[in-house]
Amino acid sequence: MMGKNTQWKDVYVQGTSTTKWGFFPDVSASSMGSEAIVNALRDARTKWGEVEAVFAGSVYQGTASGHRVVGEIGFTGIPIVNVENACSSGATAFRLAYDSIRLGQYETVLAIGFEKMPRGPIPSTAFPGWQLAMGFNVQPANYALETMEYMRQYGATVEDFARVSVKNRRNGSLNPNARFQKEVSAEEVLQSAMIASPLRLLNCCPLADGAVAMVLTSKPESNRAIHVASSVLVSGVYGEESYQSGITASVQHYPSEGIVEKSARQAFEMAGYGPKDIDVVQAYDSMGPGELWDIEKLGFCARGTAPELLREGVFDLMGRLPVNTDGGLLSRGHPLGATALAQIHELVLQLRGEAGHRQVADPKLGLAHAMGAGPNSAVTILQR
Amino acid sequence: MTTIERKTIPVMDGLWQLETDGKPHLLGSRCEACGEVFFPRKTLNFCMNCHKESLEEITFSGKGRVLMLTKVERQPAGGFYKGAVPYTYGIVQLDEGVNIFSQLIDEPALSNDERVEMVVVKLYEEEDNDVMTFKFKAEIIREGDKG
Repeated sequence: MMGKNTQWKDVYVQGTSTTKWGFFPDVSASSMGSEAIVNALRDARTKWGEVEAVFAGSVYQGTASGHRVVGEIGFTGIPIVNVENACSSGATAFRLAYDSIRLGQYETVLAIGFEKMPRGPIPSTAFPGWQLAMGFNVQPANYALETMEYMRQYGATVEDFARVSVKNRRNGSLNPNARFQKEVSAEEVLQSAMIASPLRLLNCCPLADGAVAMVLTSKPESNRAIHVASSVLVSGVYGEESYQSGITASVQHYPSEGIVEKSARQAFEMAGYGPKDIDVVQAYDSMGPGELWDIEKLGFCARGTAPELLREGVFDLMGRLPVNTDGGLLSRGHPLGATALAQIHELVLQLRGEAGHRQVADPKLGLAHAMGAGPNSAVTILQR
Repeated sequence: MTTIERKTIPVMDGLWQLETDGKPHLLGSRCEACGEVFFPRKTLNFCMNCHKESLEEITFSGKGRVLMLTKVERQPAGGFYKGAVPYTYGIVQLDEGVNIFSQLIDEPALSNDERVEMVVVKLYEEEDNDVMTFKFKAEIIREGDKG
């Protein structure tokens, strides 16, 4: 049941913190994670001893990696739950933290996402071995197929996709934590190296290391606390293609509602708001074109119309619906287990009015959407 | 003088087999209840669409059409892929009603909706083995393409 239950607690993000994003060869994943936790506690003015559980999202950090992070701060006997859910790991940790408070199990918990991207061979367990051997697990290639389909159906062009990178890199230039803080021109995007036609290097997000931690509570202690209006995870609907996971669409039994649409619908129902109420969006731009169909599937505009709205400036910082205000994955970089929490972090800053030079005008409601291999689709709606 | 005999092995057993027409055919499953078609063949007798235990094994004609394709210009990360780069990659809709990922032989150049047929070719060599895979190529050799 997605509707309101009067027994449920209201949940708030009391404090949040992110590390910088980039390559830090001399810093361990657990150091990044513990740094994020200590700073989130400071931001929340919460004592470590008040935290009753930790939900720790990561993808490549191995067994009980959240325990190593917490171990650097000091064990206090609380449960530590390690969460691996591909690129939605951070949002899944957030969802579990949210539920644990909403359902009355705890008053104050921590959600963390942290990642240090491995060098060399990266095992992808989202694809079967024979598909790896046949070269089917190339993310830009799978997104390229989806991009070709989007171009064919709606007439979108490579210039449209370049504009996504230009906008997000412009926003990223205002984000001191982004991996890339330099703007790019459409020409630079269109002339960057071809990765998998039609996607070029600057259509694809870079990898990065980084960590985000957040204190969630049912007892907010200041007006800086941000209400969690909803948090939803949908993991796959039968028959829909998921290029990220090497799943092709069913020819005969295509679902009436896709995974993104379903997660968005559930999140809006749970929050009691609709797309028109949302003031700021963090969409999933691991590949630039994905941001466009993401905005459409989330219900902010009709299918095929996002490129036109982007051209009109609707998704700019000063536009009607700013999207990826921190520069998105395209600027921030993509530490897999932390990415989805980084999106939520940016919403918290925007809703508090603490986003500095990239602050949008007086937002009251924000939505973050993360995709992940599996497939997963996670939607979080926050409210000032 | 010793001659090492090279063997051909499939990238995975059970993807295709030689049929009575002497040609390799992809193997799959079809649900007798809802008609859904699966590739590769499902070892578990359980239809992912209608959830009934009603799958039967089928062989595909090996013919279909290109839905979309891309050219991968970079070596895939992870070290699992040992084939040639760049390579053409896309989705083929088999005539029996299932979409599958495949590499495509893009010489002559293929385009969306073009009819293609399945062939078995070498993916890479390892020690004494030629590791074979299925790919798709244009169904009809067009005039001027030969030689």
